Formats: sequence, C-alpha cells, structure tokens
Amino acid sequence: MTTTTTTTGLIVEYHNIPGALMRVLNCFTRRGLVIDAVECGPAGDHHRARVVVEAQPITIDQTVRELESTVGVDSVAPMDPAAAANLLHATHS
Amino acid sequence: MSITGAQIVLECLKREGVEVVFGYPGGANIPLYDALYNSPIRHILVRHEQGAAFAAGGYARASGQPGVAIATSGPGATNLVTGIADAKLDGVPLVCITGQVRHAVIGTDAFQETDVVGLTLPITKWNCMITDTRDIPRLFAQAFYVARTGRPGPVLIDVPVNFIREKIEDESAVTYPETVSLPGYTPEREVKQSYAQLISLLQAAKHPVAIVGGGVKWSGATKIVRELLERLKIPTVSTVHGLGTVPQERPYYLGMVGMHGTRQSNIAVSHCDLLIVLGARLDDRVTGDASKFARHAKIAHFEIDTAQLSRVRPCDLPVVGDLKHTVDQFCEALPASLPGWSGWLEECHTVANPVEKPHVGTGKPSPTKMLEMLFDMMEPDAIMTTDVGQHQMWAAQRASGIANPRQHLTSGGLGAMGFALPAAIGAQLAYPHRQVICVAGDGGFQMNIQELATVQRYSLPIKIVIIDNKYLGMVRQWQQLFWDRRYSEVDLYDNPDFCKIAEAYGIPAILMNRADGMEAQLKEFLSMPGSAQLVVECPAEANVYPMVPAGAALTDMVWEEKKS
Repeated sequence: MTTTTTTTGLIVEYHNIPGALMRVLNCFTRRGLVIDAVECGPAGDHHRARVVVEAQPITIDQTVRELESTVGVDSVAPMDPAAAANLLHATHS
Repeated sequence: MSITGAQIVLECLKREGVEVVFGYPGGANIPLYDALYNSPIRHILVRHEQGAAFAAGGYARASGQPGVAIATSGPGATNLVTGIADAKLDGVPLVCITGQVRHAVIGTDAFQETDVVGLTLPITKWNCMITDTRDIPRLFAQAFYVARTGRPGPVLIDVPVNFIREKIEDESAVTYPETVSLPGYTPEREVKQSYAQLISLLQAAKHPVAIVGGGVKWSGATKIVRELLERLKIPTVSTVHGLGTVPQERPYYLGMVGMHGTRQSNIAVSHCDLLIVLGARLDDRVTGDASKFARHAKIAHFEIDTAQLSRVRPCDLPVVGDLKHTVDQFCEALPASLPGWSGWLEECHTVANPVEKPHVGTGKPSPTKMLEMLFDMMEPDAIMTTDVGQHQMWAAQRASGIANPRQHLTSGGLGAMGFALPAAIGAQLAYPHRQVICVAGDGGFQMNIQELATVQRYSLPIKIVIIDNKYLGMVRQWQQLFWDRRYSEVDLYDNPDFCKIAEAYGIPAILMNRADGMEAQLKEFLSMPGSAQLVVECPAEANVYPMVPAGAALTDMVWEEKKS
C-alpha cells in the first residue's frame, strides 16, 4: 500500500488550562507522528499553537477532529503552506 | 468553623450526588480516609486499585451516573490506569481521585511519587492536579461536568497530600460553584441540523440499514431510537454496546454486527446503500476491512463527539449532537409516508445464519448451551457482566434478548481481562436488589480474583460463573485458525481449583463438569442465597463462530472452519 504523506501545518487555538498543550501535542504523537516544528504562546485571550507534521491526509483529518473535541481546544485551522514552510525553516535555522 | 481539604473533597462528592466510592488507602490519601471515617458516603474497600477502577466503571455503566475510584499516589495511582483506559474507550463517566506526595516535594522522585497526571493524560478526557485547597470545589465540579457531559469519559484529580490536610479556618471562605464551565469545552455543540438531506437519502435508498451502539444508552435515547426504528422498519443491527437497545423480537432486528456478529447483520451492512449509524464508533471489530465496509453506502452518522466521525470510513452526513435531541428532531422531520423496505428486509432474512455445531461429544458441558440456559433462567432485569475472550463473545451473541442495554456490561473497546468481577461489584452496589451475574473465563478471572474478598466482605449476592476451558481461549482460537495450531503460552492446564478458592473466601461453589444435569445445576446455583460461584469445565477447544478474521471483510466470515 502506498502511503503519501504531505507536510501539513495546523493552527490550534486553545485555553492555557493545565495540560492543554500536552493534550494538543498528544493528538499528534499518539499516531506516531513526528512533530517537525511547533511554536506556541499567548494570542489575545487564549493561546495558539502552530504545529507542522508530515502525515497522510486521512491521518490529519482524524487528528483535526480529535483536536476539536479535546478539552481546552477552541478551534483548529489549516496553516497556509508557505507559513508552514517558513516555520519549518525558522526552526531549522 | 474550620474545614479540611479532605472534608471539602467529600462535600464536593456529596454535592455531585455520590453515595458510593471504591478505593484503597495509602500514605498520600490518609487525610481523605480520615474524613471518610464518619462520612455518609459509603466506601467500598477493594483489594487492588484496578478493582476500584473497574468497580466504579461497572457502577457507572449500570446506573448511568459517574463512578468514583480513589487511590493513593505512586503504585496506587498506576494501578488505576487500565480501568481509566477502559472507561475512555467505552465512554464511561469515571472520576478518579489520586493521592499525591506533598506539593513541596513533587519532582524530587519522592517515595511513591508518580506523575499520574502525565501518565493518564492520553487516557482521560481531562485531568488536573490541585495546587490550592480553595480550588478543590471548582476543579471537582469541572471534573464531574466533563465526565458526564458530551461523550462521557474518565477524569482524574491528583491531590497532593498537604492540600487535603490543610485546614481552612473559615469554612465560609470555601465556595461551591453553582454553575460549571471549562474554557475550551463545549459539549453541547449541537449544530442546527437540517434533516432534508438525510430524508432525501432515506427516500432514495433501496437497501438502508441502521446500526445502534452504546451512545444510544449514554444519551438516554433508547426510547426515541426505538420509536425511530419502529417507524422506519429497516434492517437494524447492533454493536456489542448497543445490545438490548432494539428488542430482539422486532422483525427488523438482525442481531450483532462485526467480528462475531450474525451473518445476516454482516451481509446486510455489506450490501446496504445507506447506513444510519446511531451512537456507534465503528471501530475495527465492527467494520472488519474498512475499505470494504458498507462500501456502496452513504453513511449518516448520529454522534455527539466529532472525534468519532470518519475514523475508519468517511462519513457522508454527520449529525452532530446529543442523540436524544437529534433523533427526536429527525423523527419530527420525517414525512408521514415513507417508502417500504419490506422486500429488502425479507432479502436480509433469507441469508442463512450458520447453525452452530454444539460443543458436545466430550461429555463436558457446552459453554454456549450453558449460556443459553443462563439467559433463559436469569431474572428479566438481571445485570450481566462479562470478562474478555471467547465467553464474552458467546454471551454477546446471546444477549440480544435483554430488555435494556444497561443489563449487559463488558469491556468492549479496551477488551480488558479482569473486568467482569469488579464491574459486577459496582453494578451490584448500584442496584442492591437486582440479580447480578458475572461471567468470566478462567484466564481473566484470575486477573482480579482477589475481589472475591470484596464480594464476601460486603455480602454482595453476585452469581459468578467461570467458564473454564483451561486455555486463554480466544488467543488459542486465533492460533488454531490462523497460526497453524501453534499453541504458544495459552495453556492454563495448571489452573487452581476454583471451587476451593471460592470456598476459601467463604463463597459456596458448584462444579459443573458434565453435560447432563446442567439445567438442574444452574437452577441450584441461581437459587443459592447470597453470592455463589459456578465453575463450568468446558471442552478445551470450543471456538466462537461465526468469525470474521482480523482485517477481512464482513462478508468473509468463517464458521466451522469453512469460508462463506
């Protein structure tokens, strides 16, 4: 079976209650995904994590739905591919 | 008046309506046990913390209310883990309270220190550590709120011992929240649904099928789902956790679906053109090869938790929300006149369910025959718990006749051996006057055998059936069918004498080791006052059929070692 993976970036808005960031990241790591880049910090009245991973689209789809139902998470949105590439580049440099 | 952190914890439990908790004391939760000493909350002392988690889970599964398990720090907390994971997969409201070392020494690898919040993060719906005694009411209210709303699930509160020891001098300074919210948690995210598309799909469907799962009972939607199905009269199948939702005698009910489901159910789902999923996760044991599962069908999925949608097979029409509302709305939106699907239903019924070859000839009692008798003889509102393995599937295949889905409790998602006995303890405490029957295999029973002491201590009239084939039967069956009979480490020939063990705990036991006289022995067993144990020595190589081999399509069933 061929598995086509793509580099994908997600923007996760979450409330910084204890454990929230770990729950967000666990949605990726429990699937065996390697987080290529992550950047997080306050963004207004909540927090924002930008996460870049390489995964199959179906895995990303499942991850997004799980993130959306994770306690503490407000919203999940795809990152612009150029922004994802920039984040990767920034963390590698 | 002053109040301690431990007393605040108990006050929180009382406010949440908790009457019974299951636990085991240790160094880090002694203040809590001191407060329990003269509390109206009943504490059930188990003999292993895993027993506490499963018993609390059994209580929750039977009653629909959150179960509460208490453990100390370190090993006490880690022993809860399997029960927590079980509750996560099956969507069971479970509140775990763990002791923790003093806040000042956390992170120093102190005696019995474990990062239980970190350990349980992936298997809880939410967890937290108390860092201020005054926060106890808010965090407990949030914990119960998260556990029982949305798709229910386990939560854990880790309480460093200094906070439950701490005395707040002015009790009035501790406030209990009237309303609860948690940032980033919106369980009632009901989307305004339009059912026009679903009705169009239904009207166009030639071969619709409905599948009911455990979400129906957790939503309290059993009645409205029955009403819906009574109107649609389309072929309907059930997952393990949905058993009892649809009365077995309804002509459109085809039985259990999945790996050990009926052939009619599996063929119907495989050939349907519309699958209406009502509160089921559609995990791999239900779907088999996902690429071939209902491959010609549109899928409409009623589900409260978006994470359950399109897990293994894309969903065409999600209906997100609490089933008791969404199904009700759908019923109201249905037109008075619907197409008839009686021809399709007849077609489903023409599929022959293979007749099971009775496990006779060895002179030993047939486990399936015994279970059939047991289902016939048990009280109509009896609650049955099953462990994990062959007996679990044999029982599930025969459980469709139960009146209510909360009468059949099993570890369906995690498949945790050792579940049945402590779960039966929880169910019996939820319903002291109902008959509770625990059915376990000889392997799983030994995983929490110590809870016989709990049964005896509290005089719980649980009827315990051990189906003893002296094998880890399901693994042996797989090794027989798919691994050339290379029976590797599944032989339990050296099992102890289960009757003597029961008697050592003060529980009378009966040995059933002959096919003749089964009925009389079962009658005697069920009529015994108080708890009793029945050990059924079965043929060693009885198999569960039909069976869909792991990863195969639902149409590719195996029975009597032949393929369909």
